[in-house]
Amino acid sequence: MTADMRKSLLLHGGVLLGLLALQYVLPAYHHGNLARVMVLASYAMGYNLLFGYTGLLSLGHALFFAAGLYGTGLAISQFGVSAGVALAVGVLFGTLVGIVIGALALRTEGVAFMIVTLMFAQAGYLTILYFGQYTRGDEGFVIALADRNISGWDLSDPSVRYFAAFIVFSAALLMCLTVVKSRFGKVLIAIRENEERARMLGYNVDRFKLAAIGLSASLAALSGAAYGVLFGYVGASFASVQYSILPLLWVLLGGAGTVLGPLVGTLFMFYLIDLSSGITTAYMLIAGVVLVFLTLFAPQGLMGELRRRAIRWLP
Amino acid sequence: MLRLEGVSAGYGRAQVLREVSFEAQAGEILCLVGRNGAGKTTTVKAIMGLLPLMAGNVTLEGTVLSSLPAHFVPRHGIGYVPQGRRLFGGLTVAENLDVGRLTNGKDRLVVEEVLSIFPRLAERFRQRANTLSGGEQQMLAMGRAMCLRPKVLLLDEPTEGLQPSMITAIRDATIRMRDQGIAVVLVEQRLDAIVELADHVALLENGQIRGTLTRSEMATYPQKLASHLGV
Repeated sequence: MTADMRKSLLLHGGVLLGLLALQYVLPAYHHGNLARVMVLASYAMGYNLLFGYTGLLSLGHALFFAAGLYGTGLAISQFGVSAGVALAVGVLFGTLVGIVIGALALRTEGVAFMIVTLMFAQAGYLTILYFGQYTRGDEGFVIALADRNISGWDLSDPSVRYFAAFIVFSAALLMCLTVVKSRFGKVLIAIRENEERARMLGYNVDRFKLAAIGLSASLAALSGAAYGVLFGYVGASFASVQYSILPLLWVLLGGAGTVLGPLVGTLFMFYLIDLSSGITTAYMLIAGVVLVFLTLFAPQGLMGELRRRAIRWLP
Repeated sequence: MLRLEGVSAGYGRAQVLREVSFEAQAGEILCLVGRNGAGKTTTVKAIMGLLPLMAGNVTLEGTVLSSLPAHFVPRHGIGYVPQGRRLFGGLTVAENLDVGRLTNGKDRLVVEEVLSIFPRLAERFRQRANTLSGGEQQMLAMGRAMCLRPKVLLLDEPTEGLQPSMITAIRDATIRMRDQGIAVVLVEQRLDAIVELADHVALLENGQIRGTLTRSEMATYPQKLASHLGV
């Protein structure tokens, strides 16, 4: 193990330990917030695998998040399966949707890829509204408290919920670290840096990109599925374009192509909106000004700047 | 070894190469010589499958490469060092070499071999590629292609814009490749490099091969060579 790998292990282990410890000291309000942030940060991590490491900018990730969310929610509400099984159904469904949409969208590149993914996500959003008799359309539906437990663990209980969110986040973090350090991850970065060169070294670039989309979609679906069972609400707003833009924003703020960037970006954005909305109703104005300054002074995102200026070994 | 037979290719409907034919042999350096716009880089791209052929074919030891997807061409043993290096700037020297090595699952020994040819890369092993000097980047681009253990190495103006000491290192490495039995196809504009390195020269003009020269013919007819160089 190299010195950089040891440092990386210590840092990420420390972050996980810190998050675990926080649940015992945080007040109830922030406790709930952090659980939500960890689930959404897992979504952003999946997005980062595709955008930050592979260089593919998708504007349709809300579809994969919603596929996980609805896959889980509908499995419970329509078929009466247990939360554990429903979670697996949601993840599998979201991954499958990701691979199918990915295979179609990868026939394009650049701006066309963005537009095609956006269009598929919009089609997904409209599909949810169209089948309103099952999905309850715009209004969405609530997963009954009684259905939100896995092996006797009540997921609506704040402590259990926090711990479950922590497990989801840990799984996403470990997956990202493993991918980034693996041969597969190196090829993804090579594709981001220079697709043609990667092809000229003998890599089937299209297959690698599709695998990246599948992996990214599976993390988005896991977050969506976890969000459903942990917070009990399944709504069409999660399939809207806003939820495709948000992970992009979180990743850009935290640092694209850094493993911890998505967590930092999600946390920062969540509390920026939370705090500024406590000051004024025009909170988006404050958020906007902060974001402009951040873009000016940390164009590579918070963790990206940290890597550039101080911690060069940051994965 | 590497044979082009009646290759015609271009960009879209604009034809650049017209029935180009030549053969590069193992353990020899074949220089592709021609003025700017003659079709040197286009020839190399056509070999790599980056351009669809309008006619003809490219074969390596009898295997037809031109019918394969582009990413299969390197797997058959053709290493390509493009003009302008085109490294993976965000990856370290070690990671760049690994990406080159892992295509065919080559062992780590090949990295040691590259580092013995370019000791400078060993000093920069954990440094990101975009922080290297131009010469070091060229060494890395060559090293990455060598990680494939290629049978044929295509070098597109590898010494362009480099300082003399770096040029020497690149030329020495090119000779070493040849001596290891690799067929080297070198696109070159510098007369001194061609005279020093080439075993054969193929003269390209307006996308056509206007003739070939052996090493002895280069010395006998230097004017013929010089007339195909420059802008």
